[in-house]
Amino acid sequence: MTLSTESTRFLEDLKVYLLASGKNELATNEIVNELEDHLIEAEADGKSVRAITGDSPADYIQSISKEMAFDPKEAFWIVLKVFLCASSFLYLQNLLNGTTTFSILLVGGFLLISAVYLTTLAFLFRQDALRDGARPRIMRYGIHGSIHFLLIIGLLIVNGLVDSQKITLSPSVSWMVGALLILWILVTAWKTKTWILPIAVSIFFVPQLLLLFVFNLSEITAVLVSYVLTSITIAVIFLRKSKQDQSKNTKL
Amino acid sequence: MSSTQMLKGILDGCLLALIAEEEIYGYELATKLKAYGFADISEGTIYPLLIRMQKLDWIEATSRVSPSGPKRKYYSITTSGVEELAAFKQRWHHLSTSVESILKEDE
Repeated sequence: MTLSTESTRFLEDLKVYLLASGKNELATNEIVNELEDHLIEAEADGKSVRAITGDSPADYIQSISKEMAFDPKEAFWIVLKVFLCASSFLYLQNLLNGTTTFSILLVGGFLLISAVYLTTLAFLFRQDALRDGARPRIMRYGIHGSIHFLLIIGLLIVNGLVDSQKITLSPSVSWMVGALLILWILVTAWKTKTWILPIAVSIFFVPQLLLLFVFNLSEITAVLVSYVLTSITIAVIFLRKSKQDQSKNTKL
Repeated sequence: MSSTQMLKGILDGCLLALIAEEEIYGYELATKLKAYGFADISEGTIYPLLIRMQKLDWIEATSRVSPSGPKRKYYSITTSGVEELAAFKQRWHHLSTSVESILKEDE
């Protein structure tokens, strides 16, 4: 038996809120599955989601969250995954340009921006999850992502102007780190069955290689073309996914 | 104070008593609570309490395949849960005797 749209959305909100609050993934899945099982029986008996959550699903979600412990190990792995995901583009781009020297300012600044990005993103996810069935405010995520993109651009500019201590990797070490990053991207995609990151990395770097080495175009042209191609591809993937979800919800 | 607020304070003990009777899963537990007169409380109220009682080691859960398909969590009482239930019964007995005697005086 399938659940109503309202129940499905409540379960999605609960899962997003708990994961964005740093709760253990296994424990989160357990409570979500348990409530799904409860809702299936309740709906079969003619009850609505409010009979389970009370008048405010948001309050109910928070009451469950309060009883679950924060899992620092889980939070650490999520932070590491997102940091590696974000840094893979920057690192591989530097590697392609032949840059194997990184300043402390760049590495530290990147870590700080990533930490701010993750904390504010978790806050946005939690807020959306408590909006009682309303659709996520996609525009806010777009603005949030753009602000952090601009912060990274700003960091790159400041890094070019200010002199700070530098770490230099030998060519063999830098290529090894690059290969490990690519391996990590592939293993994570295979484990999570989500191929968006390898697709984005391929679309960002393969055309660049072709434009640089086959068509002998300038670095800046190659980066710009790849950036536009990647943005279009990711937008198309998200739009298709959103349409699929919509049609799934309409059928229920 | 509404009856819901009054009931919430003693819900832990009532859940423990029901779990002590037999191994039971969430929906069954909520249905039984309703049948005993806890109709004002929304069904989901039991889950945060069940999580807390597991943390306190009063109850434990085992996952088994349900007749409806997916795996289902069945709760049973632990030794410390049995002790807590006995302590709850004592507290409740003391409290209800005190309340009843005050109310009788009023009559």
